[in-house]
Amino acid sequence: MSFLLTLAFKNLSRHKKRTIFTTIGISVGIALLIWMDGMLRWADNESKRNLIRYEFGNFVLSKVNFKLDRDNFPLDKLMDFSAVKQIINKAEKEDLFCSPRTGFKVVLNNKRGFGLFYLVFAVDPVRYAKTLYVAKDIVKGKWLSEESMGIVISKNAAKDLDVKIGDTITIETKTKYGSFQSVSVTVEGIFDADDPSVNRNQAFVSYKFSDTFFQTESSASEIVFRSVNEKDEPFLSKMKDFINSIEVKDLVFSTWQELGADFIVLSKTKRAGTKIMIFFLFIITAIGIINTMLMAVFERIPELAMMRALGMKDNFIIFLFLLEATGIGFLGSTLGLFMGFFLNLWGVTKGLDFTGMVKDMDFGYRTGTVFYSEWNPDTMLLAFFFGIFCSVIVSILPAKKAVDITITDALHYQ
Amino acid sequence: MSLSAQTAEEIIYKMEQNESFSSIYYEGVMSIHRGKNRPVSVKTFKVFSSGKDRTFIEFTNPADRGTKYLKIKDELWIKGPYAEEATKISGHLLRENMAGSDFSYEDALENEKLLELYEPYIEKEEIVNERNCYRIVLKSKIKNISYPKRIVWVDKEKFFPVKVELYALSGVLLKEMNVVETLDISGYTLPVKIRMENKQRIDNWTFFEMKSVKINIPLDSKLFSKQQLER
Amino acid sequence: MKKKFIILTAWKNIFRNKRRSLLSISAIAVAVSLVCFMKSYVDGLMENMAKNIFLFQTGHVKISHKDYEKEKKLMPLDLNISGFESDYTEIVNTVSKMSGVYEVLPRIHFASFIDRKDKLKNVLVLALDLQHEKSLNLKKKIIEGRIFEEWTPEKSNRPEIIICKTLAAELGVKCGDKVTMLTRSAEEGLAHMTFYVSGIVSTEVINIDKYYIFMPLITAQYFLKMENAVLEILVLCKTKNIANKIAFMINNFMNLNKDNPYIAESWTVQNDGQYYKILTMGTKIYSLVYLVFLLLASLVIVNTTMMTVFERTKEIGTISAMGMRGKDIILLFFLEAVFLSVIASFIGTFIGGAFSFFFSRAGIDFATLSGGGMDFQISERIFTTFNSSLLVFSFLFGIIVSALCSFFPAKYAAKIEPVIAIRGRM
Repeated sequence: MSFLLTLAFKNLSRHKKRTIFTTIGISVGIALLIWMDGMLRWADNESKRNLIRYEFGNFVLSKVNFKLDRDNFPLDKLMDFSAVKQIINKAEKEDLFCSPRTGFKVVLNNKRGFGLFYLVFAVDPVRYAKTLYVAKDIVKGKWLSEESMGIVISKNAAKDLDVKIGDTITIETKTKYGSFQSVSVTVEGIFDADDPSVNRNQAFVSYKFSDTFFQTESSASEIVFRSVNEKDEPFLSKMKDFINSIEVKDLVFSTWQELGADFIVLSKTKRAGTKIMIFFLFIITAIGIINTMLMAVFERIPELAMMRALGMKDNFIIFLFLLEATGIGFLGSTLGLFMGFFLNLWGVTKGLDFTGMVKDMDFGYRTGTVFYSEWNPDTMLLAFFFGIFCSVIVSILPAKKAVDITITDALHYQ
Repeated sequence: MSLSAQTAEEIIYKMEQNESFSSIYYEGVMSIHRGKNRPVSVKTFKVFSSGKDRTFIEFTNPADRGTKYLKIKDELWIKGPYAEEATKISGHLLRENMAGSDFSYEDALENEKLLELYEPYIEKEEIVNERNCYRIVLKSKIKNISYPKRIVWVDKEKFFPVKVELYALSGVLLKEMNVVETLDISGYTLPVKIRMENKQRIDNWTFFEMKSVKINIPLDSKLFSKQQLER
Repeated sequence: MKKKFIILTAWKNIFRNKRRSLLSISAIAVAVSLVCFMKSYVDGLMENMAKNIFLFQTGHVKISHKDYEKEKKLMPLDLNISGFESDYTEIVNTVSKMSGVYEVLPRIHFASFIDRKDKLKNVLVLALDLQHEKSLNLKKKIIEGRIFEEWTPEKSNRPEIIICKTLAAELGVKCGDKVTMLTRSAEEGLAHMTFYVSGIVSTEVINIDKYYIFMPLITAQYFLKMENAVLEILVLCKTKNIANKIAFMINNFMNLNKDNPYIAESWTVQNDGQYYKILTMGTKIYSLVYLVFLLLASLVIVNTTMMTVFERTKEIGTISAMGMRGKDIILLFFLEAVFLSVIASFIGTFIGGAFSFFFSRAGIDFATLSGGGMDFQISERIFTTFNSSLLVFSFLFGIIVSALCSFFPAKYAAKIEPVIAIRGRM
């Protein structure tokens, strides 16, 4: 056995150039595969992460009636402050970040006669900053403080309304009790979130502001929860148990999967589709391998005949080829892995910057404008073994053919 | 102590009595102004009202002919001339303005007594639109109320609202209504020419006129039904 | 004379070692056919996306009221096109006569609610004039029932609409059903009307089928109280490259009227040039993907040709020992490679071309392939492009890459000392 190994190794080093070229072929294919998969995986996971980090946390608590009519953010179906306080206290003991929020459908306008529709969330500024990421994405001004009486809007809104930090805009809406309200508010902060749907139409004020002007009395449409490790369980079960134990009734939890359902469906189908693209990549890589192995086999037929004439068994010869194929595959896969690793590293740290190219770009993914990659050790491993596997499989048939010829014919083979 | 010294409540009560008929019919005209650059649109309609919680409106101007509205308590239904069923207007659409005027559907749906909603007090007496008026400030005494504050100038002699200002919770003036002409009919003094202005938008106002007014006429209650609407 | 000899020898050499030649040819052919097919796929994809954007959103040029775009989110129906002296048809007629203009499409694009048992559901409506719409052949896209008929109050028929299949399924609406819609009219009152569904349609564009209803322009004008006015006029030009020029011409024409409130914008500038950026970026991304394929394919070819040269070093040694010198050896190997690659490229182009042709007629089910649901208007079915430039490109690609790839090893081979070469393998 070790004899065959040594022989295989020697053969590979004899045909250095062939080995090198095949290796390069395999490695490029594998590297690209790893890189593309890394990027798509990132886009998909990032979108899911953003659903959690920007929109819904891991799950959201609200009244049952509220959830049924969530699109309208009805103000007569809120949870009152005492209930909210109770729930938040419990949640924070369980390693959950959480914050209440109350949504108002408003018109924001800068000049009289021209207003645009937005969803303003009254939030607990300190808690919201810990629970959802939008507070981290402030690009101008600052995020709300508990005492804030200003508003934080998105970069898109600032552009549409033509305002900057310190400018005043008017909020037109109805309060929790149905009273018309028209309030001037100063723009305190401008954010540029990584989630385009938040950028599109969300704005934020503190509960102090909404208690003063919207009569919220710190009651909440929803409580948003995000766990420390961003997993749903066991936190969701714990909270469900807690809710069942307290007197507040008619409450229901909604997970981010539920609320972000339309994206989830999308992502499943997208993954399937992109797999097909990757498949094509494989094909081309495989061709390179096939090609090389075939050539390798056929040109060595006389040499093999010699060995067979000297007594080497056919099976040994086939095995020898397979070893060489494994060797090439291994080299190619290793090099590919190496290259893929660096491509991924670049993708993870620097990424592809699409900022400035499109404003409200919507690929269907909830990501920012810089496209990163993600580490995908499973794909890397898979690709690695595929490279080797492919090489071996592809060599079996030619190897067999090589020993089918009678020795005498083979010796004359040219 | 003059005989005419009255409490704010009494004044408001009298003003509302002036508007409480068991039924009313009139032909209305609205001229809607939407800023300098847009043309004025004119709507005409027939109104049948029974008490304050049942109203049937049918538009008669060429563009809207056949469009009908039915208000029953706090539900509002619409049926277009070429629609085969009525649709209930709910949610955010209620905040929309009726026929593009400065009267919103919600305004039209209002049917509670002011005294049940507001605490009135007389601020002073002044002359507005050439009438001697009590200036009465109405502060909301309940929470669920569209306009938390109103100021009503009530005519001292005939107890009709000469001018009304509607305020948002923050105190911002939202709408201003001025009565330009009244009609004395069957013991009531009815404002029949009203100008309603949206103070949040520039150059937006609606001129509302009531013609051929008939008060306390018998009205078939079948008129105020969804079936009637869908005929 | 010598040259002729070399050429002949090169040709003969190909047939000497059939197996080796066959291997080279097949490798190159497969690579070329893949390159050919990928290009037609990518081109088809981009073309499709552009086509849908032009047809449903931007046209090559869009004429609208100057202030409409600004307030678009509020759908201000009164900022419409009502012509200068009479109505919008003035503009349609003049623009139709401009050279380079292919189709002029007056349309009203608006949002509406459908009354679904006391719940109001949002839908989008595109009202158009079938007589003008040649590219958007709605009639052909009907999958159930028939296309709508125009309705005016004077007529005795009923107002009709057609609904896209996905929306219809979601609403539970079938052919023949009636549907009541509520929306804001041009005068900002509410418009309310019942329509009969004369047919179900499938535009095969995923995002259109999910949200859209189509109705005759005239019916919409009555519904929205916008008689003789439209919200937009899309102009399709003979090619998209003259869009800017046509927009310029249209603006000149319209500006002849004092206080002209309308503006014509080419697709490249609409929405801050967003569509232009999307298409260019889409093209860039796919070109990148395509480049990757090219690279890999090239590598295969490089691989093959290099190995061929290298394993014939013995042969080269022999030839040079016999007197053939550097330049001639290079030429010999180069020519062999060229001949091989011509044959291979031909085969590859043929195969790739055949696939491209097939899919250009049958189409590829893109919905499954891409996972659908991008905000871009991509059809469910993509047709690959098929034209002579595609074939020429693939053919040349194969030859050029192979030729290049054999040049350097050939040069290298020519430098080998005869003695070393004959002795054995490299």
